[in-house]
Amino acid sequence: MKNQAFFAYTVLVCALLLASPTLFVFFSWLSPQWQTWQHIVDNLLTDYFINTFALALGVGVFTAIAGTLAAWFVSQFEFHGRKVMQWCLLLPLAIPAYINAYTYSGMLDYFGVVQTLTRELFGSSSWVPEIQSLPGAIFVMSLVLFPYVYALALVAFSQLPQSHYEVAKNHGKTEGQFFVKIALPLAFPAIFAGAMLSIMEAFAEYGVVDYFGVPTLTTGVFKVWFGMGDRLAAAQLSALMVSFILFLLLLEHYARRKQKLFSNKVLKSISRRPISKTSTALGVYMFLISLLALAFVFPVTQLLYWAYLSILAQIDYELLSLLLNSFKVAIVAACAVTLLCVFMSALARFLNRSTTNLGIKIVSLGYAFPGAVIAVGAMIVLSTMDRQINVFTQWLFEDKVGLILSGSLFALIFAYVVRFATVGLQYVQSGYLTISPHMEEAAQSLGKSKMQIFTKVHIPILSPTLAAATLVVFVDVLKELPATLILRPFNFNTLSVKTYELASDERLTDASVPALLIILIGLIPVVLIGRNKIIDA
Amino acid sequence: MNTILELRDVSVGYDQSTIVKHVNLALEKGEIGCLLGASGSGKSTLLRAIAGFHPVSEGAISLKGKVIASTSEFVAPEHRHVGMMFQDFALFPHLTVGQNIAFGISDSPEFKTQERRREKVLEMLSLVGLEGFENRSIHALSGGQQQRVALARAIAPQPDLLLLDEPFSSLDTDLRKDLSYQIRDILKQQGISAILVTHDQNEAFSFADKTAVLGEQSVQQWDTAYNLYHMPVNAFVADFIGEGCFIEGTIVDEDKIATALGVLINENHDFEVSSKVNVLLRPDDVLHDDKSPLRAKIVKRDFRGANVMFTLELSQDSVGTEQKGNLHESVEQVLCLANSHHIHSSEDSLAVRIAPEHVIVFAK
Repeated sequence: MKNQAFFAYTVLVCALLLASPTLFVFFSWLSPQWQTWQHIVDNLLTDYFINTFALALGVGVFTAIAGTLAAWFVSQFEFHGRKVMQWCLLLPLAIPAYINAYTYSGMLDYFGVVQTLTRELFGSSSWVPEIQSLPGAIFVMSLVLFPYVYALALVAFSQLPQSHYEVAKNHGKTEGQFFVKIALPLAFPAIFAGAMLSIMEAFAEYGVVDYFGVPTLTTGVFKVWFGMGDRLAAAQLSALMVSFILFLLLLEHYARRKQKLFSNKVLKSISRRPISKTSTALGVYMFLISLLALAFVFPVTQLLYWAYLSILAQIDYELLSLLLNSFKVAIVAACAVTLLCVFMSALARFLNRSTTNLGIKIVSLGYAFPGAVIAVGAMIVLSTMDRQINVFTQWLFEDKVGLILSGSLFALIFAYVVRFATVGLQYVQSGYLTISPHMEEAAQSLGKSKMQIFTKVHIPILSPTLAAATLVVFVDVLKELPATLILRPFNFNTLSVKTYELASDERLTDASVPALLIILIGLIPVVLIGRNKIIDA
Repeated sequence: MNTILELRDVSVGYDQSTIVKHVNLALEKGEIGCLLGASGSGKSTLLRAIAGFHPVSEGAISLKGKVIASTSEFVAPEHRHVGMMFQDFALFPHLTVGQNIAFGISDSPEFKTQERRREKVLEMLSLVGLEGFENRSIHALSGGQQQRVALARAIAPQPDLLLLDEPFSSLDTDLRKDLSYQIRDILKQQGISAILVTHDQNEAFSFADKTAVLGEQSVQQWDTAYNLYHMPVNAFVADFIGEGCFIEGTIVDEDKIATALGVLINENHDFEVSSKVNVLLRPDDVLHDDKSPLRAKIVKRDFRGANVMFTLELSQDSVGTEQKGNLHESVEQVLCLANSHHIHSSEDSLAVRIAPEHVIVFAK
């Protein structure tokens, strides 16, 4: 029993370690940087607020509308190419928003394909909208984020009971009335949760807003950290962001709690109907095809064209080292996340105490926090630890070891683990749901110890889930930009950082190959997991 | 006799609330017991306490004379040598049928070698009638087959006691009966002591040698099916088991009770003369007899194939004049199970005769 308490606290300690960067940005307020804040409040904060909230709101509204409509069409109606369309609509998830931003900038600038074409056709291209703006940021971000809403709404719409539809028809309701009065209210919690995920991504986004020159709280953190060199004020600004996000999480938690109310019953789920009117069918096709074209086909085609122009110049030793660097950190971080999550989940499962469950809850919050905030927090935590270590080694060996934590790859990997532990945990926890407690009890009554249950029952049953978790975290790490920019050791470049640097230097053509590599790798989990998930649902 | 399992004054519960209190029962070696009760009666919790998955809050559980659970002692489930079967089968999806069955014997010295284990698996498969299924995947089996694999897995290590937690309730009705007969035969043939948990009294009666009726937070009666039905110890058991009605009676003397259906004989009662009592009448105690002068109004006919269950109302008129003095005002109902060839569909009353073999009387 003493052992149990020890292990239960281990889980909590792991959770607190993962939460430490986020907690430390709050502690930064212990020594407020009034001078820097004076400047921030006078000159920057209003813009930061307006832009951040407009961006979040815009992305939330657009992803909700596009995702809901797309999910409604493919879940309710039967038409040619529906099945292909159903999973193609997940593909935009593979494109990081910042790559979409670079690509659209290229497509829409003066020498880009759109303006060139309109000049040839109409003589003038002055009416082509400026993409490097707040509406432009909302546009490119919504295009890659709507699949969050789409995936959740698709599941909710597919689970609508057939009987609901028949009752509506019996009472003389039209398709439109069924959608508005029955389907939408029932699926609302799922749609809301999906929109919330997009909003939190929009909140955390750095690459897009930095490139488009739209100052938000995230670019503010960078500006204060690097531009003004005031790390504490950067942390304090981060704390402000974290407070907003905690509020959003609360809203999301509330929406998800309501979602549970109707998802448990096993009823015959709704079957797809043919579309009766040709004009309606045409409209549906137009909507779905243009959504997919804007979100995936156009940007990928543009990138492929750029790559075609410059492929020979780009495939070189540097690209190989970029790939190696990216893979190295991503594999280490992904394995660390999976191991940590299995360790925590297994203990939580066996002990089932309030301590362990609290630990799991703390880790579940992590994904919501922006990479920039986590990087700032991690830097503070690790440099504090470095100082202590150096004081200690100075005293012991009369020598300093330097910045062994904050100045090395350790900092980067630690930040990745903190940022993506939630993703791994979600997978591992959902894997554990497939193991019924009765299986453990059966094993126990057959004379097996806890360790044997873990190795002989848990691990074999979980193994596909663990592989999926590792893969998803691997890809997330590979795509990650803001934390990598802040924490990478000097001269250490990854695919995402290189893409960012080349795009910032307006070398979009040269950025295309690393960008395509990121998208290609990003497609693996979308195709493997997304497809299964949708079909299962 | 050789007691395998004994519960002495056992109470179980969650946190502050007790679910079942002061349970006393003993199971002999080779006997099959049953815990029967409605949902929430605590039958499963009691079973889980025997398995070691739930603590006891009072009393002691002993297996083969050794205390395995009490407030001071606790033997971990993996060391109890008690097998368990579940409603959801709980087979391991990543293992084949053969590997599932071998799961519990792989560490035992007796089955160290591959050949010994394989031998045992084949022996178990033939016992449960699944020869040739050794390498099948669990997903490829039907529900009944899965439960037979679960049985083979549970008894392969030769447990001292087998616990079955509603093992048939996820199967359809026909399969459920067949499988319960098959499993009972296997247990009896192997001499395995077992405890079944169920809410289905027919299942309890056909499966178990002795049944504990759980209700109102305790074991009401631990007895054979015959005794539970014909000699219930209290009104709860009488009501819970089988069908029947209570009619009012008045004690005439030490062996006679006057009722609306005539005077009944019970030599063992210890009620005072002229006190009012409830008399239990089972549907088979009330016989249809056209020669009987006693007629009762038919309230409901429930056609059941071989029989018809009549719900009869006893009114003042239906009873002979000599008994009218003993009657109370309210209307009483009894059930009568009659041969279905004479459904008496045109009549509104039925001639009945009362012939209880056991007159069961409870205080009113």
